[in-house]
Amino acid sequence: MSEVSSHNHSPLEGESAKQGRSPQLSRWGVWGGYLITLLCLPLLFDSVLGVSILNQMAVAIVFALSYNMLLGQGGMLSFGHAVYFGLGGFLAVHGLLLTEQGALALPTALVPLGGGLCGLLAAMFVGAFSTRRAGTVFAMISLGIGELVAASSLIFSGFFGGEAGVSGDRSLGPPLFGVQFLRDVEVYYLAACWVFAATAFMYLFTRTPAGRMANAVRDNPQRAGFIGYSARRVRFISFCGAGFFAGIAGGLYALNYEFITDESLNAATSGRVLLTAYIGGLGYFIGPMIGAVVLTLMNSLLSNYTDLWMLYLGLMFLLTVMFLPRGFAGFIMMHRAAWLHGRLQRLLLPYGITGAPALLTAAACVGMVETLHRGGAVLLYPALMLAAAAGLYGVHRSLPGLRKAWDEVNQPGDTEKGQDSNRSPLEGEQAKQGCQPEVEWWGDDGRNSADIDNIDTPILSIEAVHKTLGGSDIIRGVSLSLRPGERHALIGPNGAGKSTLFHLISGGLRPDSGSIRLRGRPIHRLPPHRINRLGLARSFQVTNIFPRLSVFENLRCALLWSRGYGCSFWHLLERETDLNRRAHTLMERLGLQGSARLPAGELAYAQQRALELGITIAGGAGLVLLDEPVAGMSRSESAAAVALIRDITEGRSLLMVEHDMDTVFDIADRISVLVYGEIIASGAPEEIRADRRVQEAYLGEAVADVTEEMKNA
Amino acid sequence: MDVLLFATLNGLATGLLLFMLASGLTLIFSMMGVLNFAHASFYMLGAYFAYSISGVLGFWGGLLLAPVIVGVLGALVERYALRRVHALGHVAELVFTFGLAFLIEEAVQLFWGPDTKNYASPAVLDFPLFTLFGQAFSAYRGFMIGISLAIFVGLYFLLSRSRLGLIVQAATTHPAMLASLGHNVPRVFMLVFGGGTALAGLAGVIAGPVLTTFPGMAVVLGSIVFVIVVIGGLGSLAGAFIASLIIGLLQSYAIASDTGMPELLALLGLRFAPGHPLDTLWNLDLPQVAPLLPFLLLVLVLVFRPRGLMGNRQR
Repeated sequence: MSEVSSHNHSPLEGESAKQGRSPQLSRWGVWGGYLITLLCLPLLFDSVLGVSILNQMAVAIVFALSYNMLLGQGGMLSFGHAVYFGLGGFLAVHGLLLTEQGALALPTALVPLGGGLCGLLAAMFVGAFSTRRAGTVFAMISLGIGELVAASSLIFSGFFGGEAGVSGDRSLGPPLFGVQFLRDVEVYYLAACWVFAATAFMYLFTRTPAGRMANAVRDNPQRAGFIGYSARRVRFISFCGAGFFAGIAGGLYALNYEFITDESLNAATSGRVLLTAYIGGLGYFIGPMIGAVVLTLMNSLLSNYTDLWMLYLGLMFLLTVMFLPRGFAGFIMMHRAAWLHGRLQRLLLPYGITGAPALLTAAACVGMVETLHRGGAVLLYPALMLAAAAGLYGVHRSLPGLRKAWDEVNQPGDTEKGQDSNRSPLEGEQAKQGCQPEVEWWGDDGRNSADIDNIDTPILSIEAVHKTLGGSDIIRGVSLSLRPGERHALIGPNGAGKSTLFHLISGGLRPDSGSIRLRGRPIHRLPPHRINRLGLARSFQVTNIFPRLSVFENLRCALLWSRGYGCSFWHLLERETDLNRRAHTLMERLGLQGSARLPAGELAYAQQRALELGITIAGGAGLVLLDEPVAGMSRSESAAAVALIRDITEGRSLLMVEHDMDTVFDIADRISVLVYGEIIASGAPEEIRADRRVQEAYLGEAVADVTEEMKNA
Repeated sequence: MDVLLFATLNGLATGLLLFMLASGLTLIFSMMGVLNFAHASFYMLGAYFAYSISGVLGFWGGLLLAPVIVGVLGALVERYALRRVHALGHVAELVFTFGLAFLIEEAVQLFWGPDTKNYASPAVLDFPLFTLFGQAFSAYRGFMIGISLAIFVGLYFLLSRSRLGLIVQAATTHPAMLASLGHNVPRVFMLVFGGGTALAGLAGVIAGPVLTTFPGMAVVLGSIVFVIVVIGGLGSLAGAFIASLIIGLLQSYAIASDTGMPELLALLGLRFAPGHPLDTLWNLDLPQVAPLLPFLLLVLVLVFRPRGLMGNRQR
């Protein structure tokens, strides 16, 4: 349960079987250990303070995990997440109050669920308009909503109780197995159950199509559209989930304290959860949990010793952002390689040598701040400053040693690093011939596949399309039609409008006038994901993949929609053997099986291009648009790429933009030439080769004349 | 009539003050691509520095020195911290400035204490500028309007007419191209960040006596300035100017008016008996909801026109 990014767990059930089922076992071990820890903690820390801290931790863990669902996994930076926490908490307290008055018989154990549902409702309402975009717009909407709700909470004192808040009594509900929740430790056990359940469900969510697509949308919302997913829908689901679990955390909070004020939904609480999740490490599932534990401890223990603990917290936060951008969890995971090599102990001494003076500096700085705050002796300052300077000098001197030790420890061993990860994707060509896959990767339900096409109706027909961008006419009345099974190449000089035309067809842009039909159905007003679902897929001129997802995940995500998973959050991806087998088959066909678990962004260029092709055709679209598939490749690479294209587009229609004429004449049955937004010629390759206007457009008038003369001579 | 006039003047004074903050923020946004959460904290630092300096050198000393100190601090933050975080991406940057705001607030409490400071406007300006309908308009507010206008005009000419302004504008849109033309782009960034924070500091100096100098002053104004920059259109100075005035006037009118839900409902011919479950809702009046209005406007603008009034960039 350590990492959210997928390349660490086995893509196939079969593969883990090969490794002696140890991942399965260790996974159960981790979860069992987690449960036992949760249950045993109050035995170890049974003081009043101890149990109270544990309760706070339980709340903080659920809250921080729900925040990670937004930011870490969904890429949505929110400054108003406390709204769902606070609303859940207020509803929970009102639930307690209603039970107290006898109007409701809500068992206390279920109060957090009520809070969760309240959070979910609020999130559904806000998410309906705020998830349309990610980035700054989303962040600002969340800030605005947060401020709105916080300010309204002071105005509507009926529900929110004004400055004083509202309070209830958790012990008056129907008892659960005779437990009245009078003591804090009883609440802790209840909270522990909720924490365990919430953690498990949030973890499982990361393994569902909706959870995985949230990662994909975070990395590349545009590409997600072109594999059939609406980025907005995917974000909306994550957002609702995050609101639900934040509401549960709010409910737990209300149960723990039995009262709640407007502070629980204001900007400070929103800020704190961001801090918690970030310090812990957003890229890892366990990160926010670490953050929650550390911050709760700091909060309750440090505040006993100094009233400046917030200052230290702020400093720690800034230093974390600057030096440990992936948080505590990231810091721990940095040592994974060293640990796997069994060289971790070699780092101990260098860490000590650098750590000791660093600690000295920190202590001296804290001393100075405290002296300043408490008005201690002035004489202390020079001594403390000296100590701080000495510490800094020590750190400065020892850093190179630490760096050297680090490099040594992380040097790859002989057995590590997959030997085949450097294989060219094109070797897959031979691998493929060796073993034909038993299962095709695309939909065998025939929904999208090309063979259902009637041979008479064109698969794509473009009629008199115009497009003006930034005041200049880019596309000036293009008409083009593709027969099913045709391989059509679109060529033309730079700036002719080829890429714009591709954007128009695939939904990235809308034409100003004219129509575009896919199998007779108008598509020129549809968004990309709708067009994709109708059976049109495209690749991009600049490689457009999901860089942080593994190669295998890239392909699996590309398959999801066509396999009918939609935004399901009730399928576990590793259980879907058929889906996984298809993704695996496709990966082998592309020759990428050696890099299955590598983040796609780390692949070599040609491999990324192959992956791009794979993502494009995975959904089984009947019409494939390829935008300069061999651009930037060496001669041998492009020859192999052409073979790959031929192979994987078998039985489909193809529209391709390409500058490399060898490739064009190699693949295409028909060629159209686009010059200044108009198609000047369209026909079989030989006709195009001989066309005078085409020669003019490409080579200039004089050369065209010479060619003409040579022909005549 | 007199209410309207004074509400307009007060709104203008607040709006222009807000613009001093918003102009720096929007410039910094066009450069870094993220909003600087700590911007209002520099405004607070300006007020506190000016308060301390005014104890020694008087108000005018503070007015001159405090913005410079704040600007240098801002430049240092950019040079030694933000530049490092910039490489880690937008979220890290945003989160960093967020943490910085938090830290500055704590530091202010450490050095100056949590109580409100008695930072007063100078005695020279302590007279009514004019009296209309029996109400006095203080000279200090007039001074605020004057200095804000001067800054606006100065900034406009600096950015549109000077060589430096040209370089800054180029750096915000095409940093790579500017660097290949031989300019030191990181230094331009540092300069703009320092300049923007100095403007925020100046706003703090002149706002401190009117809006009270206390550790929460950054939070109070911070989110409003965000609202302005977003509504005006991220990166657009003219948009920020218009939005500042809109927000300033909106709040001022809302506070000055005495209408509310009861009047609105009466217009519709509706009346609710006291004790109705949504009693508070039916009895809301405008001054009560005044703090809500900017955020309501923010959400509406973002939903229906995400690029703001005059913005051209979307992020």
